[in-house]
Amino acid sequence: MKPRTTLRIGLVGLIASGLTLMTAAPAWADYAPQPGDVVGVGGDTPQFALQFGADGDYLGDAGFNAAGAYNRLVTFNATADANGRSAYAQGSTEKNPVALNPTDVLRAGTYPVQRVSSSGASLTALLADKGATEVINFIFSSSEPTSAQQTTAGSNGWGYLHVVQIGKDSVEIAADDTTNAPSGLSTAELLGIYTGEYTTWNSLPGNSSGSGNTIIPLIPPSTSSIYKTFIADLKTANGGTAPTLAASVQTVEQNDPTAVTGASSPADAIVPFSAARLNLWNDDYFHNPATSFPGSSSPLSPGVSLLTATAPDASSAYSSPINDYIIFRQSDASSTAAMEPGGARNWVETLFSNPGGSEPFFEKSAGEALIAASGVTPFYDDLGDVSSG
Amino acid sequence: MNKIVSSDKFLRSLTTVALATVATGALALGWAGSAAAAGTPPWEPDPGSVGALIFYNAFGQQITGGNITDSPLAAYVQGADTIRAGDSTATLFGYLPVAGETPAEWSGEALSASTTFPKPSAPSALASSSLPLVTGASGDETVSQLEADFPNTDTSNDGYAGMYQLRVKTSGPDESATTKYDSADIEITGSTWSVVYPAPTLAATTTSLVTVPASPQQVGTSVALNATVSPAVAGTVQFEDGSADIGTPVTVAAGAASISTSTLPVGTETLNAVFAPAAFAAYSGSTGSTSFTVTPAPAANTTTALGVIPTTAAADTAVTISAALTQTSNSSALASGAGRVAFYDDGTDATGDITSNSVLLGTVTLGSGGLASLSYDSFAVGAHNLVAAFTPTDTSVYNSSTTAAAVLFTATTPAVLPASQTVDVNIPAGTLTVTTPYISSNPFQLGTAVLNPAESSFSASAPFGSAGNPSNGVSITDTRAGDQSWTASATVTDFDGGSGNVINGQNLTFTGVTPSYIAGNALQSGDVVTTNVTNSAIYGPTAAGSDGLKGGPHVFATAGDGNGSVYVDGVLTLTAPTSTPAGVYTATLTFTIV
Repeated sequence: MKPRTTLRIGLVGLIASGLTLMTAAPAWADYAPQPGDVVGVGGDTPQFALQFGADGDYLGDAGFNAAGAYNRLVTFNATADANGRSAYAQGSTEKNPVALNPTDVLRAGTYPVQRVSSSGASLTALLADKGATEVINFIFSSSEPTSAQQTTAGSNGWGYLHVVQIGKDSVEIAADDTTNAPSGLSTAELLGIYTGEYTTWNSLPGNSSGSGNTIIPLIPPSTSSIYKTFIADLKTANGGTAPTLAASVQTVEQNDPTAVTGASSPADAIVPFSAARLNLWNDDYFHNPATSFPGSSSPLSPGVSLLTATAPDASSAYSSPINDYIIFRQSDASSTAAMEPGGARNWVETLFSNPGGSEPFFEKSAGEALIAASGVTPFYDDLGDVSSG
Repeated sequence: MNKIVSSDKFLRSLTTVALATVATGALALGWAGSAAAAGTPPWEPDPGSVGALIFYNAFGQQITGGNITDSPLAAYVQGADTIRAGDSTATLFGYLPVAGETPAEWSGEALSASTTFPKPSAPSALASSSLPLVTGASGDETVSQLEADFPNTDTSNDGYAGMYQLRVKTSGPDESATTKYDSADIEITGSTWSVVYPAPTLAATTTSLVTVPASPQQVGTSVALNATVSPAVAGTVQFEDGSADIGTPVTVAAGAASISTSTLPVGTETLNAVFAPAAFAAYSGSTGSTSFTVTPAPAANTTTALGVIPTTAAADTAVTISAALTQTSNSSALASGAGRVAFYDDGTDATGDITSNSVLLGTVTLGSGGLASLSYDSFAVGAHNLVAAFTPTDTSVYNSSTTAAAVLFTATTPAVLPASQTVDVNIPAGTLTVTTPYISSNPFQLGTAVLNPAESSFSASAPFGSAGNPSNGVSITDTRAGDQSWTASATVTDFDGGSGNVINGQNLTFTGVTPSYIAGNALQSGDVVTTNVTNSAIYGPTAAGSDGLKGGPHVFATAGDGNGSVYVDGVLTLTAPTSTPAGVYTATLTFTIV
């Protein structure tokens, strides 16, 4: 176990102290992909699995590009910040945050475009990439395409959107390490909290001895897979009727523990969170961003934990499975253009889907190790033409 | 003569063993060199490489090749040099060398997951090393898959054909993979791969073999095979008689290993002592050989005992003369078929020897129990000293022998003397005949010719005997003595219509020729072979030749052993040109048999 320094840093908290928020500059000087490079964008939840798969992880596992491939695998994280945090524009305040709309350059020589920041946005972006030359080759998403999106893909002349599952994750509820929340919250209790029925901890059924503090319910952006999964579960718990979120529900960057630790009362904040992402936090990947290069040698504690124990109403704690998918045009799967000079496989076969041939990189043990390093449970399943919703 | 031979035999031996252990993930091969890629690949030294790769099986023994479908291709792959100090993770990659490109430009892919080193669970020599080490795992990419993903299409002699380069790069926590690497060049040949560069280097060993006692020895002799290995390194020796193993591998102790055998076969064989070193990584194997001759055992002496039952009987009475053959040394009976026994009558000569005056009564092959018996019923009145002589089938196994002393049989005068009669018989020479029921006054009628559908010729046809009336055809009877063969033939004259009108006899054919056998007769199915007599054209009146039934004579039936009677039937067909004038035409058809 590495020594860990608990260091809570919340951007919102920094705002409260009157400091200037980060600027609009890119988080790092992105590599500008060349024409033969395979470019992927996607959602926050699976972003580190793909980042590690491409370039290796922090543990020493070599990524795909370590082979020195002439054409590289390039993935752009959903978050402009390598620590997975949101970036806010100047003038943001705690009560009125303004998203930065960060950008990236997806191909060398092109203008910066708005960074794809969620699974939903990545599906939209892929379907909009209809030019003669692909800018986005694939996306990584925690959501399957909808049937309407599959129809659009067919109309685009791609056949369909080919889906490959590479890992398993789950959505659970994160709270501050020192929290007033009970050690578990059921789906029914969460429905009450997020619709405003339960506003204090001691108003929860079976938790009358709990804190009388006001609950701060946080939720990620509506385009995120975490949001979609969580709201779908609340809808089910609500008898099939979409819940009306209470005014107290605040939107925050998904899978960012600083949303909790930086809340006005961290002990009363809760947020649906990717279990895989918290694994990555707990595996000491993230370090103090306040320390200038070469950076802090001490890993950064997330400061949050998952509420996994039995809820006060005696129900199981909320936990909902989500998957990490790779999605690409089916027409690319049948391409005869080899990814590498002298190679026999196209980029789809090399990286993601090669039925009947040698394992693609993300199915190999090498790829699975990198996925596991991101906190995700590796699980390969070439689903092909599937949709949901 | 003892001799030291090269390690080739060792290598072949190891190959055999290794193929049986493919499941362990690698072949334990000695370095035999590469016929196709002997020497340094054209891209070496590779500026990106800082050291070699050494491959090991799960036991920590160095391997220099394996099956291309092995996964992992080696249990451990160790870099010979540290690539970057402080790294603790290593990954194996495979690349396709391409002529005209630098190694840095080659395409390739990861063959393994990244694994940490040092590896405490590895064999001790590897576990204690700080050098880069990749730990293979089942499911790792195979050389075969590398070949499929990056096909080597070079078929020239430029040194690139069949070649791939394996590289180990290192990384570590908070450190990306190195661009430099340790590497080895391998060649794929058929279903196997082998390290070509850097060529594996192993210290030589020599093995000598001597036998105690020395060659030659009689079959069944216990022979000790003593092998000496130098230098005296650990390992095992497999002793061989030619290519056949003698026992199981013997552990070498203080440079020596021995085994004894008494089952070497008769003949001259090459005995081998094949040394396999325990330290594959350090020493090569070697084989000591010696020629050894096993001589057969001398032929065994035999004893022939003779008896006759009864010992006295009237002349011309059947008596049984028996010989019993045993091996003199142990009185065991000889096996059935071990030889033949000849029985002799020496008359009044009681010495028991066999001379030119001895009368051979008969010879009998030895049966079970080493016994041979002859029943004889032609002894004349008087004394008959009987002797027997045994002749072995294999003189290298048994010696011949005769009875030690004659056995007396006395033929007495019978109470009633036999009356001798002379009986004569005369076997007639017999005859061979061929007949038909047709004579001048009862000629065979072909009937009225008709025009064929194309109106290009006349044709008349009639059966010459048939299954229902076989006697209307040719009748053949052979009563000759001596099982003689016969051949039946036919020939026809031209058909004469008077007034100088002629139909060429070549236009007459005899087809559908079939034997009709007579129930109970000696000639039956298969005994007679028949042949159709055909023609190839319609001939004009004056056309010369011997087609059809004209000329010849034309054979239509034969028999090898012709005694008996048979009918031969067929169809006579006459075809005439349309230029033939109308009228009645007559010809003479003659059947002959010899």
